[in-house]
Amino acid sequence: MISLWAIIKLTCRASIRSHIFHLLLFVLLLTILILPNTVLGDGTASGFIQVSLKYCLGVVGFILSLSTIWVGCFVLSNDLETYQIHMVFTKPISRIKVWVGKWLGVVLIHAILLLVASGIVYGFIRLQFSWKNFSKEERTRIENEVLVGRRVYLPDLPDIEAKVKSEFQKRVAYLKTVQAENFQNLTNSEKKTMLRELRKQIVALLGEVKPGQSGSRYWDFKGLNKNIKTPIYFRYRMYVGKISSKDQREVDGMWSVRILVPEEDVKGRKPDEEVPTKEIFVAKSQYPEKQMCGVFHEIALMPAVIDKDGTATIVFTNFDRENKPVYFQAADGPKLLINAGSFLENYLRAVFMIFLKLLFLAGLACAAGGLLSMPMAVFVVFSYLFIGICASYIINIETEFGEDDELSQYEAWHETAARIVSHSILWGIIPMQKFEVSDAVANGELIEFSFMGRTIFNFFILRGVPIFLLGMLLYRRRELGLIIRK
Amino acid sequence: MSFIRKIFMPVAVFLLITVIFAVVTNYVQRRINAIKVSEKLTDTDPVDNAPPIVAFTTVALGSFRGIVADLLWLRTIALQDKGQYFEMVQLASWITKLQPRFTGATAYLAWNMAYNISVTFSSPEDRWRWVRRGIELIRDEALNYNPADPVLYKELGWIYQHKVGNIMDDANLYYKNQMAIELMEAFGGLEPEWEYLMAMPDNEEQFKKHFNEKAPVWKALKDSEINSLDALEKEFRSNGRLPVKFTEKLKDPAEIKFVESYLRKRLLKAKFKLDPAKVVQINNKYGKLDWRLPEAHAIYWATLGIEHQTTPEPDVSCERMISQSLADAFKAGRLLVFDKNNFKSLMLAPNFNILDAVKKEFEDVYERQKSKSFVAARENFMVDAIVNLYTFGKYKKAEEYLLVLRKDFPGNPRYLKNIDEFVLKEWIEDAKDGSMKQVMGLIDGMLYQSMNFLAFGDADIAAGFEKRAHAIYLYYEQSQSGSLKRVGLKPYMEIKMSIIQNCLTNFPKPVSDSLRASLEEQKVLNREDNTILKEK
Repeated sequence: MISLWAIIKLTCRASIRSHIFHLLLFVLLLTILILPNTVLGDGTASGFIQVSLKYCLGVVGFILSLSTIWVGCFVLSNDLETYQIHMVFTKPISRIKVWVGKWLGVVLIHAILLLVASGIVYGFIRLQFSWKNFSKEERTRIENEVLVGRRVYLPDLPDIEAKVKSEFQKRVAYLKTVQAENFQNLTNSEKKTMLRELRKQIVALLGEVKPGQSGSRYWDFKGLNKNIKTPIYFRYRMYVGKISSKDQREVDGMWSVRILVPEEDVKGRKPDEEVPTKEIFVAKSQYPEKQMCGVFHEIALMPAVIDKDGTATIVFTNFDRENKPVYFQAADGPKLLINAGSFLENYLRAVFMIFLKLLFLAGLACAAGGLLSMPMAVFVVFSYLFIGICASYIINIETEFGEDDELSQYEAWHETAARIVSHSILWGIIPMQKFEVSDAVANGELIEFSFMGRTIFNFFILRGVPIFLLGMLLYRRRELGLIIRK
Repeated sequence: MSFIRKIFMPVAVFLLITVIFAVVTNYVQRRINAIKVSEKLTDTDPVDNAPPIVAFTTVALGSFRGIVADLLWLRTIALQDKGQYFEMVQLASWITKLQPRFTGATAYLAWNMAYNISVTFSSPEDRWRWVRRGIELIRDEALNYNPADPVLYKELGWIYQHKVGNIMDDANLYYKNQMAIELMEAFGGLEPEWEYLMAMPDNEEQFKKHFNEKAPVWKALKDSEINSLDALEKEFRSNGRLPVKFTEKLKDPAEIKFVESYLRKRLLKAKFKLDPAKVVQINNKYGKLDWRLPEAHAIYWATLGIEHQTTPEPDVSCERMISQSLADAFKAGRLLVFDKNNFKSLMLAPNFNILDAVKKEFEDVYERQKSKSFVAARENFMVDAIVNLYTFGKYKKAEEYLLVLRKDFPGNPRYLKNIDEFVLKEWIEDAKDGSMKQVMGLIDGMLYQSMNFLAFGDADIAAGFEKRAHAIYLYYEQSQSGSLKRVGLKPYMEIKMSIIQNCLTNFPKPVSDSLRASLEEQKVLNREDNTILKEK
């Protein structure tokens, strides 16, 4: 243990001697001093706090990631290239312990920096909130929507994927039988485009709300806390005409919530006595309201919308003047956001996620640094991260339309290759954007323990640890006599 | 001796060489910079007026700032696609700071905020916030770094003319109302005395030249414990007026007016970038404009755009902006009513002060640009002017303009009619292809306007509007005589009385009382109608 601690201390000292580390430290210092003072926001108080929070935290995470990669590669490769490690290995210490010590050293110094930088950012946000001349309404809004940890609830939806698949197969069968001749005349690329479009249409139809009272759409949110006293927020986005951010316009519509009221006169009954209830729907406004499509909206609701079973039902009726249907994407929810934790708690969770990212990056950099020369190690680490981003981007494009065997049979060979390669890569590579949580913190969304647990298990344990073990193994087996001093 | 020889001399020689090199390098670098600028070898020449953060960024990041700006740009597009806008202003501001010379990008970002993002919001307050951000990005940031770029002036003028001034946006009345309120706060009333403001000092140095050390203003500052002119200015900007404790000490109304006007001039220059000297120059050229309205500002920025052009011929789009804005300002360039709490009650009237100037401007622009579009635009303007003049009771001037048209377009049967026939025909044109519902709306609108003017004591204009409503009514009834049972209108008096009742009910109480008094005075109501008034 003493030897491990000695390695950690030596690593911290070596880090502090690195010029690049100095530079990044300087940039970090500038960032946390200058960035908050250049923030404008969008002209609203909540926008100002959101932008400050998002960018300050995001930039701190980014600079510390760069620094971690650099220092991680530096501390191991530099010791090898300067033959200092040969001196260390004359002592009774295993190479594994050296590797782990270096890794923990890099993590420790960056964890301290992260703690200081995130502390300053937190202080800045709190100070801005206290000092700025925000109105009472703006303060309440910030407290309820930004400086808070709101749990996200999604509606109880049917298995959309299964529904889409079955509907899709029905339509494809129709195409192949009734319109077989037309379909066969198409090229593979045209067939694929057509099927993709068909799939997209089916997905859109599942979220469609037709105009008129009879087309009203109901969303049930289950498993909600019945005892909350704070307002709850309903976030939604709808599209008119097509699911695209372009060519959207205002639509008239009406939101209602289900409320349970006593069926009969309750006078004379005991307070704890069960009263038969009936459900009524209360509209948000007396007349249909104009609502812009293509952007997110939030409506504040009273906690009374949650019934005794912990269910809230929200209804939308489309009164579009042009009689066009509107669409709700499953990815957008709609969502219910309910206060479930303090801002500090949520902020600490976000900081932990950044720490987790640094932990992984330090391990990755050490694995590369123990095996390769400094520039090569840095190059390999950046390539790894870049490939992770590209692979998830390619897979995102694919999954936007859903994966389906029917579609894949019309793929060109290079598309198939790209898909298979991307999938294979993602088995071993961690897309770093999965650790990104500054958006959630800025929107006041609680970073759930379940999400943190999944991230740790899926990315850190299943993919990170094998890389570290491989790095340690190769470092242990590396022939140090072959290293040529520069 | 050995210390001098071993340490001091080498250090001295080293320092001397360093200084020589520094001086020479400085000289050479200056020349290189000058050549780079004069020969247009770079588009990233040093930015003037840049705040420290911009100066630092441009120097520290060097050419890499282009890459950072590109990344921010990509993020802007991605966020827009996702419909997430709260970062947009921030990103636009950073892009402008990173690439202060790339005015095309700034103009696009400003246009995007004012046009695309604003309409994604339903509430007029949110929309106005985005339109204002677009204006501010050009006016307060980009123009600060590029004061000589005509493109920016043109783009800024366009937002005022088209986005705020035009009626395409559902929230345009809110924009106009808010703009007028903000400007009136800066003016300290309906309109400042522009000539007086123009004569005010521009800065503290000039102010001190006007008030010597023994002037009472300094004593008043000290006695009121404000201590400095800066502190006074700060307080003035936060409250919109001079502190009472200061005015009580200063006492002299002339000096109070001077100090207030000095601070107001500086406020207008700092916040709205309005130079009173330029305002006076524009007012002298075109006639007195209402500077609370967007058209005046569009003219202001387009004028500056032309002044900053490097080409000998004035830019046609700036010229077009001026002529179109002047025509708009003639039609609705006088703010009659605004209401902080109800923007829909905003009421505009024609600005007859600029009538001849608009006509002349169209003629002058045609001479300069030789574009036929200006001839057509002038003709349309003249027709509108005649109708407006007639509606507002200026029959002689309307006739004079009709004669001009008759002379300019000899043989055109449209202009050979007498003034009454001509105007009646134009009025009828409005109702020609309208359905019953549209014609009804037109008549209601005219009568509503008539009641508005009557309430504000302008009986002649009120009569003009009513005459127009009646003419449209008669024309419609005549043209639909075969199918009156199906698409006929209610009797004219019935329509009029329902509008009167509506106005008396919905106008704010003082306006409603004024209308009631005017109606009673004019005795336009018969006994039955008076019953309605009494019931109210």
